[in-house]
Amino acid sequence: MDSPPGFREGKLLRIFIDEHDRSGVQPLYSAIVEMLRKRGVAGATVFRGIEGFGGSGQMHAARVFSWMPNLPILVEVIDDWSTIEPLLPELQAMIGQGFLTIEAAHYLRVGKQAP
Amino acid sequence: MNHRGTLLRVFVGEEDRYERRPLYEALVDALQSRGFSGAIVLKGVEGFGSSRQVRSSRAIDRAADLTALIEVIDDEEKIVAFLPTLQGMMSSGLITLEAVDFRRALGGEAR
Repeated sequence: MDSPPGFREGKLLRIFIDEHDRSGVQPLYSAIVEMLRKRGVAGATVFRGIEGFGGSGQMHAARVFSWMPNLPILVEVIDDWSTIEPLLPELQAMIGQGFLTIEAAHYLRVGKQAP
Repeated sequence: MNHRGTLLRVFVGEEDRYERRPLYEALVDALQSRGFSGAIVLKGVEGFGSSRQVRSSRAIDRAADLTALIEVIDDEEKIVAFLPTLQGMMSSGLITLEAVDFRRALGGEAR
């Protein structure tokens, strides 16, 4: 598809990790969000899955009895490829057994803070 | 049969309002009244965006304004026709469009 008026051609980066993954004392997803913010990415969002499997090979499910189920975490970033590409080596080093996907996306930031 | 379509994703603040109701709710209603066959709202647990503040659902700041993500899949023309309305309802946020193939569940047309 072509970009509608005002939209930019960018990339959607999705990072799949576990909720219990750590970076030092901090949850890995928080460390990733902090890194992205410091590197000047315009935005990032973290989602928690309610069930899944992969990576560690363990089943992840809120219904598996546990006080602290290790649920799937998804971190998403949408930006220009020129912003995302330089982040990849550091991200790959951070995510261990997690994985990431990159897809084409047209995007538009709405609001006065938009660049 | 697969249809070539468009995935529309709208990232807004969970606390954003439109005419004194949650914006994500108003958007779902607007989509439904325009005949879109479905939409889903997902809630982020952490992140940052236009305000550049880190939003988090961790106990320390429960009142944080988290991200609500609205996703809709339909024909490109229908999605693109909805964009002006969508932009008019949002004061800030992010809109993304991606090409997707989709297939309706059997019986989906009748719903």
